[in-house]
Amino acid sequence: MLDYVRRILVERHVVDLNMTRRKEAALCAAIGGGGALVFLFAFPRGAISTLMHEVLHLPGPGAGIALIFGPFLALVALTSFLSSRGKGGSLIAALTFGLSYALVVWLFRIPTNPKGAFGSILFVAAVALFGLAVESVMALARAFNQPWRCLLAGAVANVVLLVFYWLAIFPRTAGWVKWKDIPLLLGVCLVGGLVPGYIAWTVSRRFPRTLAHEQKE
Amino acid sequence: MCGPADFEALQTSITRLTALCAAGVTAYAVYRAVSFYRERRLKRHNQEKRTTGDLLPRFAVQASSERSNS
Repeated sequence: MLDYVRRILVERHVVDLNMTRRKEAALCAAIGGGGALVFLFAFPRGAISTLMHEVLHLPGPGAGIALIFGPFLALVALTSFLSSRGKGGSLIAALTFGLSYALVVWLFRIPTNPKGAFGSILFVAAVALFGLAVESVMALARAFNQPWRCLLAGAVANVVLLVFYWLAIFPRTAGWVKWKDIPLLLGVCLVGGLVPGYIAWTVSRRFPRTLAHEQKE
Repeated sequence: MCGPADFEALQTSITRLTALCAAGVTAYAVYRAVSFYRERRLKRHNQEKRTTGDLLPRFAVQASSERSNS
């Protein structure tokens, strides 16, 4: 059965399993996994919450997602999308990010903020949805040139992530968001998504696309 | 709702972020230096090749003319 599905996918070019494609997938997975480790290392438990609510005095819940977690994920997803020519790069990176984050947290019993449900199944689902949003925007917004597409993808995916958190995660862990806080948090979310889009585009311009060159050859 | 403030965690985070940024900048500087060195070496190699390529036919012409004179 599995062989039959695989054959159908390969025949219809849904999944292209040639060497370059595998290399690209491995690169995207490495970016996702590395991103998860960097995020875990850079933001210990309580750091984001303290920065958002005690230093910046932003309302919650969702400020940390809109300003730190979402933009970081956008940077990971967009960088992997831009470093590979094929489709699905950002989805692979996002999924690897979520799974490796959950695995490392579970393996080393690293304490995380229960409000964000980091490392749970819902967290992995949120991250996968983020990757899917980036992928969809990059595929649908072909009318725009690449820098604008990156900005748009970052902003839209960040909003999708925040709305998912507001609807599916925060009601279980921190409570519903207040109506009066939504405009401010959405504004922060949009700006927070635009910045990594620009950074990812700049980074992709600076570094040569090794795999893309291989594909051309 | 926001949880207890943990300024120690924030300080740790800032320190680690600074360290990561420094590592990134260093890695980028090394990458640029290596690519600059490689480019320069390649340019020199090409120049040498061109010079040898220019001289060889000249030597060949000279040799043939000397042979015909003698």
